[in-house]
Amino acid sequence: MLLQITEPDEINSQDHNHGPAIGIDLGTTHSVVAYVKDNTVCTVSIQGSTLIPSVVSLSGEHVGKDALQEESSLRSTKRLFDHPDKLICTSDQTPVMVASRILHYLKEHAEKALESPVTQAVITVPAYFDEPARQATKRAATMAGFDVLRLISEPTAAALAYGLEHKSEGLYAIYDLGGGTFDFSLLRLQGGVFQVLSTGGDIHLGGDDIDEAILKFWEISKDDFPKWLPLARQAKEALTHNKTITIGGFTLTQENLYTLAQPLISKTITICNQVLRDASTNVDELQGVVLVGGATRLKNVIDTTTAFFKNPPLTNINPDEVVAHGAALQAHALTKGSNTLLLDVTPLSLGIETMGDLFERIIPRNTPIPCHMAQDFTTYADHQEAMSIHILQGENSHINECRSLGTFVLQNIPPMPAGQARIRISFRLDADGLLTVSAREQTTGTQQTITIQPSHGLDDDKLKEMLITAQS
Amino acid sequence: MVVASRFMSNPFELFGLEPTYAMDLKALDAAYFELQRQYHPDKSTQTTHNDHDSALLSSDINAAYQTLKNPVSRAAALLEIIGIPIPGADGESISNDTALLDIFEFQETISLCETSEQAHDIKEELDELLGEEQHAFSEHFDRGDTEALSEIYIKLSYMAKLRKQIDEVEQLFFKRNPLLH
Repeated sequence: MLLQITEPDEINSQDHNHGPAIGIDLGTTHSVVAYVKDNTVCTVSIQGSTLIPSVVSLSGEHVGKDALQEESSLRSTKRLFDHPDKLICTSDQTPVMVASRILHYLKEHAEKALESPVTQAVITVPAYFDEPARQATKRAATMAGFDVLRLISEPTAAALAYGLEHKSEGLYAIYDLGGGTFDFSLLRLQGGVFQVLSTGGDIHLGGDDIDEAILKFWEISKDDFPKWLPLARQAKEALTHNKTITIGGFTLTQENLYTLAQPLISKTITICNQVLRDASTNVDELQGVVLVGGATRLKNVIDTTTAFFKNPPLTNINPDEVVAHGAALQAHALTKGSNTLLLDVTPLSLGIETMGDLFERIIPRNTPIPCHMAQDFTTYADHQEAMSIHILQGENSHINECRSLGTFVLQNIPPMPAGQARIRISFRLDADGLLTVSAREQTTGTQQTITIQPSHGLDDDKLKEMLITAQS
Repeated sequence: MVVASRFMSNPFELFGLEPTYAMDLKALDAAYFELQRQYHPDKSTQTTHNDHDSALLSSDINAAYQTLKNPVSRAAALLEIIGIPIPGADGESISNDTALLDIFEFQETISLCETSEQAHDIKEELDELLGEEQHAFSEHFDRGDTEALSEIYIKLSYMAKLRKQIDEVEQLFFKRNPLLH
């Protein structure tokens, strides 16, 4: 039996040798597009800015700066990627559709800049994105007309750019605090090999949370948040240079901001500590810490990371563009060939449900990919003829705290006393982090094949239909 | 746990390394990178391997690397090479009273641990004991004294589990006040 948690057509037919390939950092608040030309990385500028707001108008007509100027628009929808196909309230769009719209817009502008059609792209995702969120990102890209060469983790992309542009070697940590997500990764850079040792994060932790904390501090009601959000952002940014700011009748001091941001920064440091443990290393072994993401400009992020890592972070990069640069370099490496090699890991443990609603890990987090692991299970009742296999992803031992990826049933198990059957369940993760699961009864070799869609996904016809809509 | 790998019987051979416990981890890394340079799916599009074979080979190389990097699974791999059944595999129970007595004692110390300083001390003590067992395994293996290896392996694997437990306890203490550290 074979469970394919992927659109089967997508993996096979890739032609890696056609046209220019670009790198896209599809961010929560901003997106960035970059490409490699004559061995230099160039960033695409739209309406005078390389940071393109990840915003789509309610009608879906306008994207970026234009959408920002409209009264109501869809923002930070990447935060909704744990339900990628659920309609966003007050709109008729889903997070996948919004992402697709943004990607299509970026594609058009990349084509203008490159004066050539562009279909191939490397797209970055938060390292801590789970399987359905990765699938959803791929689908959004397909709908936008892209052939996705590879999804890579944002901190890994940052490390690629940092390592290649600064010719660094050794053990590096990437602390990536963006608008909506936090990622922390440890990488070893050695002779052109980028080896991810461990990674961790929180897909609901970012600069947006600080903005909301500021609004709460100003006692603004939740319904009015969208209206005042730009003001909170301005105040936050102004405080990198000023001790106090008064804006639109509201006052905020640097001290206020520190207090408001501190709980969030505490969480990030706890994650850093866990990731270092997972790699059996400590801060003294690090060659350097690279800060990525706009929220790392906050002074207390810099102060706190300096204290925790016992060294000031490396700041000789642009924290907003470095992820897209890494994606562009990887796109170039995959299409044109290069000496660099990226060895990534799976960020979250994968396994199945066992008796008592427990989650049994088959592939633990931070296992290098691609990988292939199997474990034997048995029947719990006499003459049990079928076994339901529920696939999950997460770190909690209870299934309710994990993400369900799908269920399938192994049938025609030969009648045997309980505990006699040997059912081998194999998990296979490819280099994109996409999962295939199979189950086989060992004594008789009973093995059936079924293909199902991801539990939050769309069927192929629906996808094609949306593809047509997106292009027309 | 069964790791599906055709090289599982001898991961050392895959990397062209001598089967020994006290191995040079830098040499392992170098051999690992060298092999992945050839077989990783990203490289296969540039060479002649087909995608499927390449993903499988690359997975096997990853599995063998993980096996050798971890001190417990490395010991298990060596036991397998010299034909000694791995204690605890296939669900068979382990009967080694003295080793277990120490473990129980440690388990109790861990459950009574109340501060991160205590956790740190326990960890250091465990690390020292783990180091001693690793040294013992290496010496006995190199001498060809296979009699004692099973027992050392049992101690090693239990201590590694305790080490993981105390690590989790330490992380819990850390979480209570991350900015203090």
